[in-house]
Amino acid sequence: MWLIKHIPPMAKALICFTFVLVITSVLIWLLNPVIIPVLVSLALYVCLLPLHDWLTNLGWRRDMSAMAILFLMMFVVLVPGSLILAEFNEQAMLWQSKASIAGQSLNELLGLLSEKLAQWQFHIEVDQLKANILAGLVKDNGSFLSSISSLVMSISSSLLLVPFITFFLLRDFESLRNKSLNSLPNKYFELGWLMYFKVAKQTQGYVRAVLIQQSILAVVAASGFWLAGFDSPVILGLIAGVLGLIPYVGPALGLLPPFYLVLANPEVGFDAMYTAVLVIGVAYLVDNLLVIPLVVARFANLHPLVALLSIIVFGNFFGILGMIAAIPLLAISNIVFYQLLLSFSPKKFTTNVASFH
Amino acid sequence: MAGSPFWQNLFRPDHKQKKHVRDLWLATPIFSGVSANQCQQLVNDMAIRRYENTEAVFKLGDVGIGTGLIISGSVRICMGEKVLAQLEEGDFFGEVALVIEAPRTATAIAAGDTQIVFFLRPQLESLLSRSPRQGAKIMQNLAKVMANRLGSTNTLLEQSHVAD
Repeated sequence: MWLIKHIPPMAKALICFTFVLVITSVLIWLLNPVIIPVLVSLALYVCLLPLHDWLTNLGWRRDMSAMAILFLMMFVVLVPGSLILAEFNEQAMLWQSKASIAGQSLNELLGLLSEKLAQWQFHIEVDQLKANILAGLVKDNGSFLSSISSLVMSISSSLLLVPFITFFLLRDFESLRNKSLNSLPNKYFELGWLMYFKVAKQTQGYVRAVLIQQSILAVVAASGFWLAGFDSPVILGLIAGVLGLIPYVGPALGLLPPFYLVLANPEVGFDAMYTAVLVIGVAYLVDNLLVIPLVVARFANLHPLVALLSIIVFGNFFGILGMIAAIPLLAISNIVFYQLLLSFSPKKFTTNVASFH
Repeated sequence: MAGSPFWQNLFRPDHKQKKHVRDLWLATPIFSGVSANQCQQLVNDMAIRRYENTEAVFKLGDVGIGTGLIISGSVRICMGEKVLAQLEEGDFFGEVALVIEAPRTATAIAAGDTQIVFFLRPQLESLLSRSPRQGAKIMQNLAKVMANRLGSTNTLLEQSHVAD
């Protein structure tokens, strides 16, 4: 007891934070086989909650409202989603089959680049660079296109599960949340609610804003690619939208699929790369002018360098999903740690108000 | 073990009790003018907690997130060693935390075996977005309650100045 009393607040907060982190990691590990459908369902739950609230406010029962939304999702999400994913799978296979053509085009492009650079006394190993780029883009199992492909495949295979998880979240999430938080000991009951309230408020706002913004980005990019005459503009727009969920590095990654398409279809001509840069540039300019200052920075309150490093580290361990989740997870950790520190601080807040209320 | 507040907070029979809790809330100025149906819906989501004798409900400086209503037992409001008030069944306390994220300005300690139901800020904010009219009514009631408390505090301060 004496020891607990004399542990500094920072150490206490660190111990508790580590405990929370361990429990969260175990939960994520347990949920690993269904992590993508659960995350997609949670995002949908956050977006559909206002509609659910509106229906229940009109006098609908919670389960009836959730059921109506489930049917709506079947038509709005499942049908177009299945069509788009089928198209994506077809395109992904086509892209993989054109790897050798892309290799030849890349060789040609790098040869041109090497000649230009030689004029400036710079020399590059064309073969080595070509091998590295192709391995990173398409050949290896951990390559960029196969990562995108496996992410989309996971989403498509879990597409059937998503509406049902969302239905149960809409129907029962609040009572599950209440039961979990009310099971906390008296001493930590208010602290638990406070942390949940802050995290939920911020993440809900973030998820809604980012999903709306990325949908706009996907539409802008798809329209741009369609106007520029690219094949499968919808898929390219969708990839740009998904990668746009990754702050800071999303634009660079979003350029890779159209570049690869240009390389795999040399008849289009390398000039199309400039068009791709322009399309992605315009789409991300709109995105960066709105999302990063208004949504990401406000939500996370993180230094850009910290955010960038966290994206790289999470991406290294958990792939594209880790890159998307890096900022929200870091911001949530920030809130939880700050609240823990505040609650263990012996001075906490002091006030001169005479009233006890 | 089975009688400890932790297990009773986890597995408590609450169907009958919730009607009683609703009636207690409806009798407070916070829920004045709010429909019984709306109040019942809120009560269904409220946390009912049990405290042992001398157990702290909250301490001075803690960040509060809601107001508590005593269902049974009593609560002492203390500032250091001094007892400021003894609250009984049907009394509520800590209502400022419903409106702003403020530190608790006193310590609340259970006097005897006590049950308290909490109305939390997330519930009030949720009500404000789902049913703005009912939410606004509660906010208006809260403003009246706090204005009255401020008036009483000012009177007490005035009296202590005169006494000095």
